[in-house]
Amino acid sequence: MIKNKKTVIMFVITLSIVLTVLQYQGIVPGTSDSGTELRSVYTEEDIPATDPESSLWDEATSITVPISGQTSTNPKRLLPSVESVRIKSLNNGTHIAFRITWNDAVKNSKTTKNQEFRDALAIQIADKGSIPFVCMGSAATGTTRMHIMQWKSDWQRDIEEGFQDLEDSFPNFWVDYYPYAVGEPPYRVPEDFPGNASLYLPGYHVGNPFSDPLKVTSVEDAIADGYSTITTQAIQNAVGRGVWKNGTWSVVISRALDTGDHDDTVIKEDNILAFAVWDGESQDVGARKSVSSWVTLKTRGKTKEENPPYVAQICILILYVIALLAIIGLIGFGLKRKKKGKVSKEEGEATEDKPDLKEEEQPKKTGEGKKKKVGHSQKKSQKNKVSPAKKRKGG
Amino acid sequence: MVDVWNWQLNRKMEYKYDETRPSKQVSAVFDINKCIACQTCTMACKTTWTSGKGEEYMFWNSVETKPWGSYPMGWDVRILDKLGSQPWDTNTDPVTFSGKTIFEKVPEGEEVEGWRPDDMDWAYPNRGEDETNEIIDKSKYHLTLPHAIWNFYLARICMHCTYPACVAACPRKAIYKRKEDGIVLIDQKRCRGYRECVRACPYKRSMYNHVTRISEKCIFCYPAVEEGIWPRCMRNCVGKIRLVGYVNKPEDSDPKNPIDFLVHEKKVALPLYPQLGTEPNIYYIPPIHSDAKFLKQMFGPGVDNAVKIYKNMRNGNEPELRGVLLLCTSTDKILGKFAIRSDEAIGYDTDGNEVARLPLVESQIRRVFHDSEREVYRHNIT
Repeated sequence: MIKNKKTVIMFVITLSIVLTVLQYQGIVPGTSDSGTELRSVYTEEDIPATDPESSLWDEATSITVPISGQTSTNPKRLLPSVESVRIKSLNNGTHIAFRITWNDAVKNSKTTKNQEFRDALAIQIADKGSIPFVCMGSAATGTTRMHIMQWKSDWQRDIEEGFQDLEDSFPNFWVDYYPYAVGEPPYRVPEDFPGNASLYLPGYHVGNPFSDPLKVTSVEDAIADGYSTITTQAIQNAVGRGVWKNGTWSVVISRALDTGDHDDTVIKEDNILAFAVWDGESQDVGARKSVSSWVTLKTRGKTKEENPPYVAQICILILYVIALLAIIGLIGFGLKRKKKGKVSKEEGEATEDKPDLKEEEQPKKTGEGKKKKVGHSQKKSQKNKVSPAKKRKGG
Repeated sequence: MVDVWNWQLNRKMEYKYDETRPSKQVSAVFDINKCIACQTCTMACKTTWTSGKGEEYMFWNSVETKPWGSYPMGWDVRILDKLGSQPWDTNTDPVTFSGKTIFEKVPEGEEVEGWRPDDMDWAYPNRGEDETNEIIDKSKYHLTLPHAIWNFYLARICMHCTYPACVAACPRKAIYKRKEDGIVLIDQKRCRGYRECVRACPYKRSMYNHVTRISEKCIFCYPAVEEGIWPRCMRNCVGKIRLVGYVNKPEDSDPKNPIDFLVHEKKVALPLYPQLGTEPNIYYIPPIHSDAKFLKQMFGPGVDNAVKIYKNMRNGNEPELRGVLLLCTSTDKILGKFAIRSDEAIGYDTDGNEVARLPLVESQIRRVFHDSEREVYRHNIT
């Protein structure tokens, strides 16, 4: 019975160590869990930069991140509109993609009418180190500048179905003539009109990205330095796409790990990420959003530059196995020793352990005294650790 | 939230930002008694600023018939209803507002109490036009003063408030109040179309553009104001009900500044819904024949005094007041000062240059009823 138990324990320990090693190497994907660590899985293939339904996503580890209402600044969302998001990430050494999935019973992808608000999703990325304030960072506290990528359902609709114009929302509406909006978007101003006539589409005239009828990406690449500061970047590097099916949004946001754009955070090991969801049906917009807490990104062993060559990988694996065997051996001896100790106690021979302890302490001291010969001392220590057991065995 | 001084309430109130008044504050006085709801102001604004695509429903200037008209639908009653009772303490001089403003009675998680109109609320800009307060039946068909059956026209633009609700509510800080003249503007580059200003403004003067998907509002024709010229809606007023200038705080009131004279000296021009707490900078001379209770809710407790003084002017007294109101009819230059000399009213721009001069009483030529040369009787002899 005891032997079986020991075997089971050994098997579980071994399996967990092997799995950890393999997952660490990216050889097997992790399992779905709820957590604060997102592992970006390396793939040799092109990452599905705008395809949330690609089969490649099956290779990635999924984590479930709880979402709460934004209650730090007014206007607040006291209760979240979404309970949680499920996140996966893939990278191919140069680019990284995040797929975020959440439940949303109603698709909202228009912002033409006064009462229409979009479904949206944002990822906020910062360097590790001092954990910035989760809402857009803060320049005042000297924490990191935030890089934010926000996917917007209405921007995507403008791209996929053409600019959602007035006529799309008010099909029975008629106007004879717009002197200042000729043709299709982007509207032209008649040539004989003065230059300032384009002011009749003021947002478009001043280059507000929200007013641009010809959008090229559904993901806004932005930076922020605290509340009220979110700013669309001059260079847009992020792409993405969302698919709404059966009450679920699946949205991919992707980008080069290092875009070379100084406004972008270089995506690397131990970056921290936070996620925000806007539910258009609940009239979420701006600060009225649901947010996650920080999630740490793990890419080690996944990105090209950090990924050792195949041979080296095998060597590392062999080393791991050797180390593993050594650990198993040690645990085995430990268990035996414990068992022996138990038996000894029962027999009233507990005093026999005392000299062994003294012997154990000795090499430790030796080790401390001869720092330059750590390896040797450790060896000696191991040897000495083994000897009492031998003794016991012999006794 | 910090405490700021709101002189219209005669007390401190809570606001998001410190009290930082502009060096000058643009202002205007609308004499409701003269408005005929011709909507010339509305169209002057519409053709100047909001004829673009996506702005179809927008009227930065609108004229509604009170008591039933409103644009957007129920803009005033809906916010008044949210605030509940709005009492004034008449034991103080001046009277003190003892209710709560939109910045003080705020639901958890909000910056300002408000509501956001949807498309249908904006869809009837002239609903209630010319409707009277009650159905005219036999018992009320005769005229009494004040009128048992009444209505009046309320011309409205952005109030360019001292404590704008839109500024407090914008999480983007995309709305700002200009230091040089107090005009409140939405930065078209910063706005991200959250519509928090649309929700917060109690006067509902921020509007969402369907096509550019960001919000816009009345700009008090700042390019004209910078040249010392009245905004379009004011210049084009057929009824000559409007007077444009700059308003000071009551303690800095200049009796020779026409706006200060009407607002602080004569107290004949009153703020619209001062109890909301934004310290609006467009002032109204209340209609003298409408229901006083209704007017007090709308313009505060100073209504009785204002009506009394205005009636007094019509009876031939108050020559100074008469002179200032006449200046409305004779210039489109922003007035800094006025002067009354014997039987003339003179207006000066902010640099002290004379820009208007007119008699307090127009001279009349009276012709004989019968023209003997042509052997005809004249229809009009004055």
